Amino acid sequence: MNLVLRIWRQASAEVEGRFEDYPVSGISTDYSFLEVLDRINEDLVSQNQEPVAYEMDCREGICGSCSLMINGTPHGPRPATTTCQLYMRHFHDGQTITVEPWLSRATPVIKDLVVDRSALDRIMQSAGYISVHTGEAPDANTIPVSKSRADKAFVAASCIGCGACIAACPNASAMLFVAAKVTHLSLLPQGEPERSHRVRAMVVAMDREGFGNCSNHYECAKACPKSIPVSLIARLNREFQHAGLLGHEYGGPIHHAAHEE
Amino acid sequence: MKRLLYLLSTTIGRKLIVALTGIVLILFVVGHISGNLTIYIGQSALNNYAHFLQTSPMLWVMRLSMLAIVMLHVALGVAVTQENSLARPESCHAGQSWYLHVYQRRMIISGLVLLAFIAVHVAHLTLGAGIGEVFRLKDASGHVDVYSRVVTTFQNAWIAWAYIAAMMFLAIHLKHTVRAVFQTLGFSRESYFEFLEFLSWMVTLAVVGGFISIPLSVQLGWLALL
Ligand code: HEM
Ligand code: SF4
Ligand code: FES
Repeated sequence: MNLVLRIWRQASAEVEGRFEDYPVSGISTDYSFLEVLDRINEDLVSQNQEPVAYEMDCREGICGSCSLMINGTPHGPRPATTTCQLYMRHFHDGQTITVEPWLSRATPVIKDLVVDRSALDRIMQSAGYISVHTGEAPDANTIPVSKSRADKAFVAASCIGCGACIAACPNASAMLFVAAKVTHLSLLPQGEPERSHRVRAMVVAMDREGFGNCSNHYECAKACPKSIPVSLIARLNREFQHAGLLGHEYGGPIHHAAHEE
Repeated sequence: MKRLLYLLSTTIGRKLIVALTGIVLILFVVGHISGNLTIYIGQSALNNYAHFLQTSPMLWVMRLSMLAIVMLHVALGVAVTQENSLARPESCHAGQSWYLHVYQRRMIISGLVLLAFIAVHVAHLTLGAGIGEVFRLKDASGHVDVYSRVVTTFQNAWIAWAYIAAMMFLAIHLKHTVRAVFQTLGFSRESYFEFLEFLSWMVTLAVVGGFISIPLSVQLGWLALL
């Protein structure tokens, strides 16, 4: 295959970026999208030019590092596919493919195609965890979890935190991501004690980072490489309303007189 | 109070209030068209219905609450939209066409048109601006003659078509929101989606179809002064 990649080049956050065209030839249809970028970079390096910066790690669709806007769609045209698992057989010979970074106010560009997604980490740090003592792993199945709950929690837990949902959203909303994380923990008994605090803290963290809010366009779920269902946003809304209106954090501590000698 | 303030301080809470006030507005337009359809039963049916509304002891309570609800809905709708466009400064990326860009902003566009429409409509048919003598007509039973007011107004083709055009924006707003409120209020599952899509089409077609039918019927001569 012969292709032209029109790639966004921006040396740093401080300077203006622009598109540049990179023709590549002799691409096998079995190449992954990242392998095409690797080819371009090898050529650039051999010509003593600055290679294109992009993110990747696992190359097997599980880490969520790869993050490219391909022809206007996060992770490219295939449903349920990460960029690293997108193969060139889904493109045609002679095609010009536009490659952009995932921009939003909360995820600014660092260089070329790399954006700063640490906002997602800060949302996780705010409450996307359960508080338990670490140590020896407990025996399996000591806490009963029904099969249907476990399955639902697993669907939500399959979110790899890539941020495609944010890139796809006209409001740059992170609600699908937050919904997946909140759902995953709130469905399981281990997540129950901090359930109300978690959803509130994660929503506040999400607002603080400057992400938008859901206007119900549902572009996120179409772009999600893990097919996180958009109904989880309804669940996030429900969890949040419940916690916001009925959460036990209100009203301060109960007055409780101590014994005096 | 603390809870309310907390809700208002989050994006999800503000959107929740847009949706709650929006539901009242949806119920209002459904009620409004149901009442208006009495025009097809005849002059006295519509006038009796109008008389019933105008003499209700709750009239001003209802009017003022609707005003407050519209104001809340608009204020928070505009605020939410502004926050959302701040979150995505480079709104048009290379792969995106301009019409998709407009399409994704259809809520604020249709909303602002509706706001203008509501102001004009209340001034026009409720307060009688630009209607003249017809506004003060009474029918045989001494009730305000809303029937003649409506028919005379819509005999003007400009006004009739302007109303019909405004209703297209109501259609855009309703089609999106009837379905969306279920999601915003947290009452939605994957298995409801097809039904909610169907419901939002039905409500939109029924409400907007009903509203449009009246100026159209006058223009086509099916509704005339008696
Ligand atoms: C009869 C009139 C109206 C009805 C029935 C109505 C109904 C609704 C409903 C139910 C929603 C919530 C949708 C959701 O949950 O996503 C909504 C959203 C919205 N409304 Fe209205 N509305 C009306 C008039 C207006 C007016 C006059 C404005 C003026 C600005 C407006 C602006 C908005 C905006 C901007 C949103 C979307 C907020 C977002 O981005 O999520 N609406 N409307
Ligand atoms: S919800 Fe999907 S698109 Fe969003 S971060 Fe998780 S895996 Fe990526
Ligand atoms: S590189 Fe890990 S998901 Fe693509």
